[in-house]
Amino acid sequence: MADRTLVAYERADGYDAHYAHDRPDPDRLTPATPFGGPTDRDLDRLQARLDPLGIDLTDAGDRTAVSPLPESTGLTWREVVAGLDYQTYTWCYRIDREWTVEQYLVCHLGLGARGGKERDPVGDGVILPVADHEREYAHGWFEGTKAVTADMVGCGVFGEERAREYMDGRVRSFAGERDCYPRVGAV
Amino acid sequence: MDRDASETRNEVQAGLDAGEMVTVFGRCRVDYDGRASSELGPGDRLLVLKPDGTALVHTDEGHQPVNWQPPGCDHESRLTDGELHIHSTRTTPEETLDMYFASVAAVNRYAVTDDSELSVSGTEADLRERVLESPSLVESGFEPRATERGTAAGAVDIYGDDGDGNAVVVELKRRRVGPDAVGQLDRYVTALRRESHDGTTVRGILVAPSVTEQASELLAEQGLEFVALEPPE
Repeated sequence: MADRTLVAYERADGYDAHYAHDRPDPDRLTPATPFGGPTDRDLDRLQARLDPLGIDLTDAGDRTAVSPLPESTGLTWREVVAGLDYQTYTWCYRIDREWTVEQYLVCHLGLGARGGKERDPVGDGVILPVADHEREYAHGWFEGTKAVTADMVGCGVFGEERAREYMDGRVRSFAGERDCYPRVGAV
Repeated sequence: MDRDASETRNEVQAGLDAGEMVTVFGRCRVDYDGRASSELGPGDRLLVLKPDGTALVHTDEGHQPVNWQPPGCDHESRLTDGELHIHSTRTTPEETLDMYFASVAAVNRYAVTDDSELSVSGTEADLRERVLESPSLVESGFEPRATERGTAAGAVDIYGDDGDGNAVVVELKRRRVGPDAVGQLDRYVTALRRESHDGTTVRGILVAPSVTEQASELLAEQGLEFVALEPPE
């Protein structure tokens, strides 16, 4: 629940960025169902049971896993990554023109919630490519890495900027041959 | 008892043409080619072909199929080298699943309708459904008003009222969470407090299986609350 996901679709003029409230099933994002198709019929059944309580499951107006209205359009991939809110989103999908879905774990490097300096979460991190089988592991691995790093800052092992570099390096090391974004040295 | 391959092929194809759910049980091998490739040697398996294009190959173990195709695929029944051959294709990305049956014990066709009621204890039900069905799991008197309600900081999971007329923001997490999730909830609560013009008190409740010690301390520090709740099995 609430694994908010930014879904970036490659179009002729760049990427369109769409919001998904929960991590969509990549296999359901197809040319025939670009936004994940209608939500499960179970949702309709649940809505019928919630009607007497006055609860509207479709309050946000979306009946698809991914909101059909883009947050922004015509972006370069670099702009998608730079404009990402690393605190809000847990996942980022990059969908190319062939409908291949690349999944990235959004690694927020900010330590504001762990006693560090509050920073703008937009663009404040690195995204890590993950395969299906390592998705949950990668999520827990980064949480653990961040917790230990925050402890090291607390113990005076290094300062916050060095801590950010350390986490960035650990994420890229996890990725191995795969590309993390932003790329090293990208501004 | 084994069935005639040609008759079986025709029966399967008739089921596919009619938009029915078709199941085949028999000894088969499975070849997959697409983003990767795999070969599964001969074994006794159950094949389920659904009208929405899903294909599932089940063995005698586990709840997950050993091979599968998602909805939207095209299935075709063939006779190849005297064997029943089910060919399933997906176009984007290009993937094929081929099942060759050396013998078939049973074929079944079903014209399926399914209007049964949702069971919130089923594997498909998630944490949000559990909370919406039983709001008192959050606290007595909690009444959900909306899901995915928008705020300046983004959409909150569940927005509602408590028994004292206060606004309540509920953030749901399926897994044990650390301080970052608390920071996220705080952003939504802060945004709603800013939007509130009538002085309504806004409470923030994090619902998750468990929280770390640091997260627990941060919740207390920021005046936010925690309710331990597991997603349905």
